[in-house]
Amino acid sequence: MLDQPSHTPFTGPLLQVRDLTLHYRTRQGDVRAVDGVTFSLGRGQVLGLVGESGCGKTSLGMGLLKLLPSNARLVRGEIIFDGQDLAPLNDAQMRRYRWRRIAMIFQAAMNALDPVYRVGEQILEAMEAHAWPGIEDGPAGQKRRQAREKVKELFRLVGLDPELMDRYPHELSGGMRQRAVIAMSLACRPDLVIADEPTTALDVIVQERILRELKSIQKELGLSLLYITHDVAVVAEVADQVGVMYAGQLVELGDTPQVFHQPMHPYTAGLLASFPSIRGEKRPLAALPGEPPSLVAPPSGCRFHPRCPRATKECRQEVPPVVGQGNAWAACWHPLGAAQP
Amino acid sequence: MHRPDMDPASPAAAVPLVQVQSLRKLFPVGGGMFRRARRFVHAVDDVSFTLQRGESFGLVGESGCGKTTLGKLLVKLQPPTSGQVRVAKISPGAIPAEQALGWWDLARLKGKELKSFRRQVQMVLQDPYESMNPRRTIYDTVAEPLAVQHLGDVCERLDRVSQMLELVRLTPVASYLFRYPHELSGGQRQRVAIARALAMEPSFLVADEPTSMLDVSSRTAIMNLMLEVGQRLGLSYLYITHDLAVARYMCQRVAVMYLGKLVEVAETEELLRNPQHPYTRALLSAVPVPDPAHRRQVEVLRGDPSRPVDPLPRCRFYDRCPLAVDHCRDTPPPPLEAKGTDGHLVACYRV
Repeated sequence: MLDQPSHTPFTGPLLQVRDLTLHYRTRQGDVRAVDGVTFSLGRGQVLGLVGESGCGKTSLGMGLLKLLPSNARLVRGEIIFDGQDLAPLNDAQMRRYRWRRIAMIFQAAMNALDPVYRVGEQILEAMEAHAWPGIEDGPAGQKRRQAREKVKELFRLVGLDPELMDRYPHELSGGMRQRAVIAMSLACRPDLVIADEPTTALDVIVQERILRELKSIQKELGLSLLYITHDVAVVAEVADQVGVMYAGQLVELGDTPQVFHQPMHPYTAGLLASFPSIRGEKRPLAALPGEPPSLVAPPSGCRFHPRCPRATKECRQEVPPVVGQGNAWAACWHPLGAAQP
Repeated sequence: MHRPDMDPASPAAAVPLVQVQSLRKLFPVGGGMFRRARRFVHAVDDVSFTLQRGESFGLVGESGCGKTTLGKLLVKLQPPTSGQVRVAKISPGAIPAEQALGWWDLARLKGKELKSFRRQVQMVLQDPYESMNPRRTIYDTVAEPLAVQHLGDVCERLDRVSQMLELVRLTPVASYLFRYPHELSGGQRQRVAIARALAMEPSFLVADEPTSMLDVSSRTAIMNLMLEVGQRLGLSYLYITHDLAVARYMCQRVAVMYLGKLVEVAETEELLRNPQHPYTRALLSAVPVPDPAHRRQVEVLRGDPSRPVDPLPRCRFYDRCPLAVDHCRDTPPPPLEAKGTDGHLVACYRV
């Protein structure tokens, strides 16, 4: 519940998502990409969202900013950001939030830079389009000079030489471009950054460097970060809390150490057991049987039941209950290491 | 599922299958239709190693280090600039201990010999969406190498294809035979690619990032499948990957590549426990560990890997190396030599 005091400003969690449901209309029928997702994200917290491709994690991230293709429909739910529900807002109203207060780093965003413009120029252009956020009012040239200084500062923040502002994208390596994109996302000092697989296309040494920088910037600026990835190991490194998505639903949520060491949902356990590591004893990996279901006609009851080793009759027939409490729960009939519901 | 660990000391593992000697591949940069290129990328630079029969040998490195080029040289998809690759001739379906029938020198292969070489050496590529003809059924796809090699009649081919699909667990076989690639998931397609490679009963399989496009659960299933099939058929793998955790799971030995050169070769567990080369150490320290309790001691490197265009005659890692001294700058690249434990090779003047 919102425990909002009578006076402003709003002090509850920065982001509260309730029962968010998002469908895509296709010829095969409605794809239920996000179905009844509920979670909250505190100020200065990092929530990792893991799941396999097609589980709806990217749709969820885009849905929060309402950056969705035309066949998508927000069926129901609330996206309460800093006390304001974004769900009913129209596009013009959303522009006040996008980038300025909620920024997004897309997967392979580094390839989205326009090859014919200098990197810094593209950031300045975006700032201009948003009426120079955070820049004092004045003559255009002065605003531009101020903004340039600011971009230089941002480049330093993400560990890039400010000189690189005046280079073209092809002159930068993949890791440098991705850092430039991160700098761009931070230009308006957003409260929330949604990062969707920001390091997936990068080499491991570069990935490590970017994760480290992202994490230190997040701490320094007190940002909230929603980190979307398929990589369980990356989540273990960056997130305070982990949410596990399967077939459009959030099936488990909890503090990172708890989810990793005592997973409750059999899908979480299966996902962790199939992930190789370079540390610890070498162990055999167990693959989850089967494939994720179609989201046009998802299985009845618990969506994981066709692949679940613990499935029983009730799992096949009825939607599983939520076990656990507050910010540590799983939706399962037969959770691991816990009493039956 | 169990991990079929092979005893590296067993006689079967001590028989060489592939011998690579001073292999080099340069690609011209610049130049044009009428102008000769003056500069070259040294994609594979003086690489030597031996791969044993029944062994799974991992090749790890970052993008652009030349690992894919090296893989292509080994299956003769590209000619080397210099150096030699020799592959032992083995009759199809032979048990690992069986004598080889001689050696193929890849540079001299052509005609009939090349065709029988192609039968023994197969490749599985990274992208199961791109490596299959969308207009051909699964049966056509898997049977194609059999047709090319004129093996069996239609009935025998159908038998063979069914057998292969069963091996990679695309069952019931009848329901897959006449489907098209677009009807399958990524993991299933990669199974088809493996079935196609195995239909020829190869003794050597080059797998170039076969699981990096796949999701966690199909990735694990494919890795387990390759281990099991490899064990059952006595296959040797060259397993190319950027992911050290995957290499650990799949390979008995691992070679680390940096800008065209092998910088360290060792048995996998030894390499993880006791990395010697400063690049290997940095690479290992950067790999995220799926355990929030684990704290890594990151060894930070300066800069980014450059492109080895006409590199100076010095250690390729000199610019980024935390241990570099003047000697490393003034001497040709260090050779890969034994340091410490058996078979642990390192190319560094400083360790």
